[in-house]
Amino acid sequence: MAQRAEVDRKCQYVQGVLYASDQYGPSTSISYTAMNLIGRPENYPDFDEFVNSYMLTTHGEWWREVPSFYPEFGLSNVPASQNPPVTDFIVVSFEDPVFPLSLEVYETFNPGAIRRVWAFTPAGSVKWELLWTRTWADVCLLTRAPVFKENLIKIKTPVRVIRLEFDTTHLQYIPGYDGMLLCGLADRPSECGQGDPPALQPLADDVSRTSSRAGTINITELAAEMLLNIFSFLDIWSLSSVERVCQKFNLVARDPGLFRAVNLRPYWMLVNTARVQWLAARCTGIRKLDVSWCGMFDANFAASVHRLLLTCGKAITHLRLDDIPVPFTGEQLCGIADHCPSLKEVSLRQMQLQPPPEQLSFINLTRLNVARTAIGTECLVHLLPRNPQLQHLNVTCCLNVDLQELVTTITKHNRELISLNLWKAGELLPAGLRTLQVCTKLRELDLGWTIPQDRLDGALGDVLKSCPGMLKLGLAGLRGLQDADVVDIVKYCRQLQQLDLMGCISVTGSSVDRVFYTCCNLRFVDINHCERITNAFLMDWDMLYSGIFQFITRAKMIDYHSN
Amino acid sequence: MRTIQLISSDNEFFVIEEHLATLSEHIKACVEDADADETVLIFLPIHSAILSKVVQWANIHKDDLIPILDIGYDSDNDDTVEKCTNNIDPKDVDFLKDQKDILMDLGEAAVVLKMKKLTKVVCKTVANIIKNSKSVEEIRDTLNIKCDFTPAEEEQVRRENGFLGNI
Repeated sequence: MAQRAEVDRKCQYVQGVLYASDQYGPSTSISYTAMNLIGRPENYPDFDEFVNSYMLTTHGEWWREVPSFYPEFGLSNVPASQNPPVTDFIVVSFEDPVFPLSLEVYETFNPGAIRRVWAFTPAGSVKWELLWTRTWADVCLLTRAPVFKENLIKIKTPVRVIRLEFDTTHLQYIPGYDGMLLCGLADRPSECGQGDPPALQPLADDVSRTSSRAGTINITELAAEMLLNIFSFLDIWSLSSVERVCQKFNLVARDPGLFRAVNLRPYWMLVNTARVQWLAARCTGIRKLDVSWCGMFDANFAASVHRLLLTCGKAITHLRLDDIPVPFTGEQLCGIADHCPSLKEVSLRQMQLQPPPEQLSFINLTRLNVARTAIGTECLVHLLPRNPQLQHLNVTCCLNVDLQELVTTITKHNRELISLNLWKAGELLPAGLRTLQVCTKLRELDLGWTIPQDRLDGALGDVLKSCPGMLKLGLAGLRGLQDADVVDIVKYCRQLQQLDLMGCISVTGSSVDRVFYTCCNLRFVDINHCERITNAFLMDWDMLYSGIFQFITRAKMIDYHSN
Repeated sequence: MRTIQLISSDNEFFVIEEHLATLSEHIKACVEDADADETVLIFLPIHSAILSKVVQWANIHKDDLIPILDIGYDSDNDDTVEKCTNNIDPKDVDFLKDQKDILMDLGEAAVVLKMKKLTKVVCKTVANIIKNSKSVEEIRDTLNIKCDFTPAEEEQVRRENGFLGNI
């Protein structure tokens, strides 16, 4: 018997990447993107920032400390057990379905981010089943392990689609992955089929089990206002159970006041068209809605979200549709913009638009995030003048945007901008950068990888001179950035807290040294791959500044992995 | 010196200190109308078993720095205030732990006496009981609720229910 089980055991590398919420670069690129997970690992057991590995863009909690950060809403009533810290996810497929036994992930840079592993089981009654979850104790043990290898929870159905959830908040720098090996049995193992699938349920509190029979008043005798008051402290999950308890609960739990700020993201594994419809019947007074991450493999999902917003969107002010793994049509997004006239903050990060809309009628927004979408120049050039109050704009990796033209529009119409993120969104000329000096309220500017020229001709200095409140500056991959430009940072950005100089190969230690010396509020600096900074400087800085702020250097990363 | 006496529905007298009156808008209003040296009698539709607990709760909080009256409800219409249930005062957690049986009576009394903080604490505690229940049946069982749906209605509710419906 044991021998036979061995024969049936099947180990497979990733066949395809179905979705990645984050990757270091646009999806059209090969370098550092999720595609590199496919097939056998090419670099393991070495560790480094391999160009043919999958790398994420976030680490630590620095992104929480910038002006563009806006906290999620509607989560205060969600129990912590149902909302573990997860920053990103990836969905991959394997060739043959197996009953999973174990998963190996080759973590070739900054390991320790994997938080949960899920399997998609189209045949089962539960669509997404939890295969593995990390406890905090594990994090300490695994942080430096080069390979993530875990035995998985046994499930009753064979799977070929796996979802990995990452939590990068405790990492020192961005993580990298070289591949994944899923081992399982082709036939149903005998120990399977007993016990229930791991359900996402709150932990029972033993206190709650005592019955309340001695009191004279039953909860159903309370006034509706009192019940409403009680229900206002419930998360959406509990509200849906409360509805099924009795007539009175059913009536009170449908009050639109309970559905003003709804965040479905923590429940992505449960949310589908039917559940969006359930919500649509109740949230007529909704103000804030977040359905990020939801809807994968649900063909009608986009249509159901569209319909909900068409009927209930009148008063909605905040809308988050980040990393939804199903396509929306341009028309659907147009309809949402038309029917939600009160919107102030819109986040559509990585929305798959097929085809992208030519025009969007959002007006008077204060925040717009269209990062990693196919939205084009024409659409933005039409949109931005109608949003003169815009404070935060993110067009990270928007490849259909002509940055030059976008910046021209911004300088004319969007001078209230506080943050502007152009990371890897095409190319900008130094002269175009210079025009941004009219946006004097900028406190956060990311120009990463946007200027390929050899020199910036003082354009950066001109912008910084007019933006005295600059807190975060992203200059990664600007090969033309010279010492003179860094000296401009010293001159004009005394309040600077975060500085990204990753890959600025022309910059030397003497100018960066002046930044360190002068900018007393610095908290985080990335000088990874700044090849002209000598070891003498690095050693000096280690002594002088290591307790004062965090800085990332190549030497530190290598040290970290070899220890 | 003014004395305040609360009289329960079963005619028990509770003499309370004047500063406790500030915990209840209802008592406060009654006291404000009275003369300075008068004995104020306040009749309440609350049974002594419950009223004694309310007085006990008020005594626990008599030394709180923030006047309890000033902490209002989270307005249902206020979107900017997010509500959470993991911030209950440890003193209240301790006090209510032993009062599970009369939780609803306390809540009702708090409403009658217009005691905002007690109302809120009771609501949060009941909400936590619901959150910690694993199933609809468990909610019914814990809170002693009879299912009054007809089988047809129950099927209908189950069918249209989005979240737990078919899981």
